[in-house]
Amino acid sequence: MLQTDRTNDHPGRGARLFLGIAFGSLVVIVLAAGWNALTTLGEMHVREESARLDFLSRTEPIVKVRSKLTVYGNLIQESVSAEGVASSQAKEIFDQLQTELGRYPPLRKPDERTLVERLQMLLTEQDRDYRAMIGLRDSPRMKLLLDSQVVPGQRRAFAAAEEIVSWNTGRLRAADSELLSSFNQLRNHMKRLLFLLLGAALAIALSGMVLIASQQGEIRKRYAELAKNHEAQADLSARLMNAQEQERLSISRELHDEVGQSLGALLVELGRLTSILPEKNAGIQEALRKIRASAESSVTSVRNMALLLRPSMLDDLGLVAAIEWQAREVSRRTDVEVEVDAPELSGELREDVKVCLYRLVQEALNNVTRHSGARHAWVTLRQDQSKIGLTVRDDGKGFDPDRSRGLGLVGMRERLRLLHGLLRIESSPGAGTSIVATLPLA
Amino acid sequence: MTPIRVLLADDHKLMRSGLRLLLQQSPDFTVVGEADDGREAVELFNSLQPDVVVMDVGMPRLNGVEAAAQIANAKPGAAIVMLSMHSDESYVLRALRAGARGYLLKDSAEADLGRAILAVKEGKSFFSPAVSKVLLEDYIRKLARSGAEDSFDLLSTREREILQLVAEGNSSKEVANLLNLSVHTVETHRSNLMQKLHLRGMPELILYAVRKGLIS
Repeated sequence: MLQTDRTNDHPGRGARLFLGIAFGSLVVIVLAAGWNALTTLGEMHVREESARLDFLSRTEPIVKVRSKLTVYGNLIQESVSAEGVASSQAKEIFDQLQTELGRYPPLRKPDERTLVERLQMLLTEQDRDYRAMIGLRDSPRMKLLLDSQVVPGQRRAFAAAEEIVSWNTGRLRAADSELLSSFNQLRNHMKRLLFLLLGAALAIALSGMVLIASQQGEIRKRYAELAKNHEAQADLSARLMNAQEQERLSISRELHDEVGQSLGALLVELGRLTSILPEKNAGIQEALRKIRASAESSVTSVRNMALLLRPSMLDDLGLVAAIEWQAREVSRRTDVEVEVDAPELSGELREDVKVCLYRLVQEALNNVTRHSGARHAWVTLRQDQSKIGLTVRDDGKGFDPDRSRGLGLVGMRERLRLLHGLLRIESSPGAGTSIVATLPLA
Repeated sequence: MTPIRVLLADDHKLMRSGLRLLLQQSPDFTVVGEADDGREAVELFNSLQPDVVVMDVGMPRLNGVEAAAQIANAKPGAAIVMLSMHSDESYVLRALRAGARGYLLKDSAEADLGRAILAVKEGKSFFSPAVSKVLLEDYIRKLARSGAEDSFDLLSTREREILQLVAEGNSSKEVANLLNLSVHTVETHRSNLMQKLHLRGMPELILYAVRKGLIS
C-alpha cells in the first residue's frame, strides 16, 4: 500500500515539466519576435533615411541646375539687346551650372546615366548655340537664332532636368512602396506570430487547467481514501479496544473465579483440617500454617492481578463504587489523595459507558500520579437525562495542552470518540489540570 | 438448642462445599440450602426462610449486594453475612446499605464464619478484623493528608459508648437498658454523635465504628 503510494508520489510531475517548458518557450519566442521586430523596424528606418538622402542629393543639383538655367535663359535674352555685361554674366552662370551638374552623385543606373548625359549634352548644345548667337553680333539674326535654336534648346534642357527629377521621384516612390511592403510584411508576420502565441498560451492555459483538475481529482480521491482508512482504523481501534476489554474481563474472571476461588476453597479446607487435626502435633500444625500463609499470599496476588485487569466492583457494585475503589487504591499507593464526588447513579449504565468512564478515571489518575506532582486530585461525576460528565482535576504543575501529546490523552480521546463523547483538557503550567469528559447517554 | 438454619449462596461450588463442610463440623449450624446465583438466593430465602444467609458479593445474574437488598426489603432485619474477597470501603458500605450486618473476607472465612453467623443471628454486626484494619488505615491517611482533626475526639465518653453499642446492633431501647438511661436520652446522644461525625445513616455509622475498631 505504502510502496505503491510512494511511486505515485508526484503524479503531475511530467505534466508540470511540460507546462514549464512550454511557458518558457513562449516567453523566449515573444522576446525573440520583439527583438526581431525592433531590429527590422530600425533597418527600415535606416533604409528610408538613406533613400530620402539619396533622393535629396540627386534632386538638389538638378533643382539648382534648373534655377541657374532660368537665370541663364534670362541673361541670354538680355544679351540680345545689351551684350557685354550680360554675356560675361551668362558665361559665369553657365560655369556655375556646370559645377552644379558636376555635383550630381555618381551614376548608378543606365537610364539615369542616359538622362544625365542627355542633360549634359543639351547644356553643351545650349552653350554652343549661345556662343554662335553671340558671334553673330547682329540683333535681328541673333533674335532669330535665339528663337529658333537657343530657346527650344533651353526648353529641352529644362525638360531633361525635369525628367531627372521625376525619375528620382519615381525611385523614391519605389523605395517608399518597397518599405511599405516590407513594413506590411513585418506587420503580417507579427500578426501571425501574435495569433500563434495566443494559441500556444491558450493551449498552455488549457493544459494547466486540465492538470489542476486532474490533480484535484487525485487529491479528492486520496482524501476519500484517507477518510476511508481513517474510518477503518477507527473501526479497528474500536474493535481492538473492545476485544482488549473482553480479554481482560475474561482473564480477570478466570483468575478471580477459578484460581482465586479455588485458593479460597483451599484456605477453607486448610482451616477445617487445622481444626480437625490434634493441636498437640506441633510439626503438622506448623506445616499447615506455612501452607496456609503461602496460599494466602497467592490469593492476594491473584486478586490484585484480577483487579488490575478488570475491577470486579465494576460488575459487582457499579461505576461509582469502582471509581471510589480506584481513588482509594491510588491514595493508598501514592502521595496523591484522591477524593470522589459522585452521587449514586440513577439506573444502571451501559456496559461500554461504564468501562469507558472507569478507564478514563484510571488513565487520568495515572497521569496525575506520574506527571503532575499533585497532592490532591478530585474526581467528579455528574449525570443528567441526556449525558454524563466526568471531571478529574488536580492541583499539580499543569502543562500546555496544545504542546503536550501522549500522556494517554490519545487513548482517552479514542475511547470517548467511539461512544460519541468529547474530551476537554483545561490546563496551563502552574495551574493544575482538569480533564473533562462528556458522554451522551443515548 | 436447635441448630441455626443457614442458606449458602456462592457461584463457586468448591467454595460452597468448603463452607458447608466447615459448618457441618459444628452442631450449632445446619445448611438448609445452597444457591448458585443471586436470583436463586432470593427465591430460596423466600421459600426456606433460613435464620441466616451467607452470600458471596459477586455472583452472576443478580449480584450478592442486590440480592441482599431484595432479601432485606422482603424481610427487614434479615440476618445476612456477606462474603467477599475485598476489604475495600466501597464493598463494606454497599453491603451495609443493602442490609447485611456481617462482612467476611473469604481468606479468613473458615476462622470467623461461625462467629459471624452467631453475631448476625442475634442482630449484632460482625466484620473480619482485616476489614477494620484497612478501613482504619485509609481513614488515618486521609486525616493526616488533609490535616483535619479526628472527629472521634469530639465525642464525649457517653457518646462513644453509645456509638459502639448502636454499631454492634443494639436498638436504642437495648442501649438504654444496658446503660441505665432513658430511651429519649439515648436517642438524643445518638443524633448528636451522628451530627458530630457527619454520618447519614446506620450503614455509615457501622462503617465508622468498624473503621475505628469499635466493632469487628
